[in-house]
Amino acid sequence: MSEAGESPTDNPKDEPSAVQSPPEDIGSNEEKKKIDVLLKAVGDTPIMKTKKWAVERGRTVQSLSLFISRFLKLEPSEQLFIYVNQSFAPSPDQEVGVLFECFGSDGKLVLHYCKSQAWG
Amino acid sequence: MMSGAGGRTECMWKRHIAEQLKLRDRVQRQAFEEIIHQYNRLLEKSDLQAVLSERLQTDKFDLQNKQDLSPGSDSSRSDALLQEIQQIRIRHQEELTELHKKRGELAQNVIQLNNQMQQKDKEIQSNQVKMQEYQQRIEELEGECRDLRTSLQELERANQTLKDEYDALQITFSALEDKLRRTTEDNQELVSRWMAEKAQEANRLNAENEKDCRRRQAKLQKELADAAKEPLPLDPDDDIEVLSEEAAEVPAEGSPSRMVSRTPSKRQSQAPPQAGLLDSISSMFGRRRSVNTSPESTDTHVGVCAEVRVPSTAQHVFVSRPPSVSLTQRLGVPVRLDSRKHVCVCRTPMTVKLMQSASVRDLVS
Amino acid sequence: MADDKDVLRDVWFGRIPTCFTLHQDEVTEREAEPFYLLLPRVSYLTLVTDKVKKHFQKVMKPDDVEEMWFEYEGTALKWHYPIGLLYDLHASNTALPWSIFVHFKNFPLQDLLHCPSNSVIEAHFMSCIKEADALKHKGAVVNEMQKKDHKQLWMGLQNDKFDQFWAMNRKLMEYPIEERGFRYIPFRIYQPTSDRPFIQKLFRPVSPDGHVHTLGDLLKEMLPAAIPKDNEKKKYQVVIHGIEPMLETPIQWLSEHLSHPDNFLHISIIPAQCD
Repeated sequence: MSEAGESPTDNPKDEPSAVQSPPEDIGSNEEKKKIDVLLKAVGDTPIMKTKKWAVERGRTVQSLSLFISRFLKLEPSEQLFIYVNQSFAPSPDQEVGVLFECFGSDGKLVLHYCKSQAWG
Repeated sequence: MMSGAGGRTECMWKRHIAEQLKLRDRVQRQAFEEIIHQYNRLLEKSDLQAVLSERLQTDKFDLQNKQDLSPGSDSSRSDALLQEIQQIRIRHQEELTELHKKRGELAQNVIQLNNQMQQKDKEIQSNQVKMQEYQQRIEELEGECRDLRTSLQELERANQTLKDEYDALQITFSALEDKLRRTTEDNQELVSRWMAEKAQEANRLNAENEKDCRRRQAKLQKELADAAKEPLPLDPDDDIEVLSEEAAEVPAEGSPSRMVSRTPSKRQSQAPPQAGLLDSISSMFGRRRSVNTSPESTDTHVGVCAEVRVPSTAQHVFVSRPPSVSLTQRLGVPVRLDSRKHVCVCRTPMTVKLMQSASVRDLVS
Repeated sequence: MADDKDVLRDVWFGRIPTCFTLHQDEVTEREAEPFYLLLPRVSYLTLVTDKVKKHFQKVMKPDDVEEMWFEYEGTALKWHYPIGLLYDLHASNTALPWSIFVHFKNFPLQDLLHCPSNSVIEAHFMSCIKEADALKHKGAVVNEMQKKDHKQLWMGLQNDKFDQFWAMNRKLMEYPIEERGFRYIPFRIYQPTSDRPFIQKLFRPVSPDGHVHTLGDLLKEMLPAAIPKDNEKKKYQVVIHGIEPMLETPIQWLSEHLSHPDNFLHISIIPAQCD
């Protein structure tokens, strides 16, 4: 998958596992431990250079949000809101795997991120 | 609990849930509701009392500091009274604030509900209007539908009629076609038969003619041959004379055939109509010949004339006509029609008289 | 149906008698009595425990009071889970009242989300409703609602107003006449001990060939172990709102009547009581 990147681990609390995932996790996303996530910016939020990511199913929305904040080099005070289906903001402890199962389309989960509340 | 074996499955699971909820509430809510309520009230009271007693303690302490000689019992009684009054006052104040809050909430609710009601009324109104419109439209459409259906039926009927007519005409047509074919066949058959018969007739005629011809030819040849054997008596007096018309030798038909014949007058009496070919030739050339056919009495001249010239007048004139029924009728005899040459060869009881070729040619052209 | 409305009411007004005790680690100026409360099953801890906070704040120094959090038998209770779910999942079949410990310090970040104000609870609640509607109607019904309608749902929950809430919520329980139910059923299946928080997947209320799915069908697909096989002793209890519905109950009906106000069916799978 072009433009696909490996999401690096966050603080040890979220991802107790090693830095790099073993090679067999990368690539085939069938049967998968990982799901494809497409990140889209909303409003004046900076756009990520890499938009497509392979994320482990057990990853939380919170950790993904932190990852994006760090990637975009946002200030710690700046909040980041994540939306699914451009309608609701999932709970921070929600697993991306579950979101993918329920709201994924065309084999990927589309998430919109915004520095301010976009859809309430 | 479920009387009568539980009826439908739907009733079962739904009733189960309803019952379970009631049971749950009995155990979890009702059993504790009152107790918790009373507990909280006591808690409130004890809190109040704790607060009050604290305050009173400090007050008392203050008072004690000021007045060392206050009588014990009186102060304790009044203290108790004071406490009670203050407790009551505080409780009342709290209740008052609660009620104020509740009133505020209710007022808000009332406003909200009023707004909602107004909205609902508006919605109902617009819905009713819409419904009326729809009703009207439905009626219109129903009417249109009915009209369309009736016109469709009419068209179908007309179409059916046309189809029937067409079928009938088709049948008639094929019958007539058949008839025509048959008639044509019959006609052709008849025509060919008639043609065949005519052909036969003609053939027969021709055959007979041929026979005749050949017979005469033979006869003529014979006569010629006989005549050739005999010497030829020349009679200078018997020169060319104007011969009278021999009406007897004229064929039965009238006007069309004018025969100007030259026959010698002398030997006229003996001239039966039946004359040999030789006679005719010699008569053409101005020589009277005997017309009897007996070979021994032939004092025939050989067809050599002393004076020969091209006749200027035709002895017999045959006028050719296009073959027609009228001719046949007139002649009363069958004729062979040779459409190419329009040569009419009549077979009459009398001999067929040949014409001079020149004249024939004229006629034929 | 009158029965159905009763069910809705019973679900809404469900209560759990709870005893709040200040944890011994907390520093107090004097002893604090436990505080008893009938908690609404359908609400959230941080929304209904103001009195608890006030009660215990009285015996503590202001400096020692940070964000309040609750714990039951060593498990930090997630405030963003409905109270009834927390009880059914962790304390079913234990003696009532439910004993909860109150903490004011050492907030466990790895287990709990912060709840600085009621607007956070409101945002979470509305998000759940939107997520549920996304599953039920592709989000169509929620999007059609106005801001004040959303507010009405929240206020109904906050102020314990059944009629106010259901006046709006009934719209979220409707579905097109030509369909036989929602597009997908919003549900979450919880287990007390599990490597993941809950099971949530796509599940249709009616199969393409018209078979009406039941609670049993849902469990068979999502957690087959929860259903006892023939002749096997029941190992698990399937609890919703403190009761065990029959497995034959249609899942569509359950979604319409036994959902929480957040429009999700929260289902607890707990070990069956050993007698």
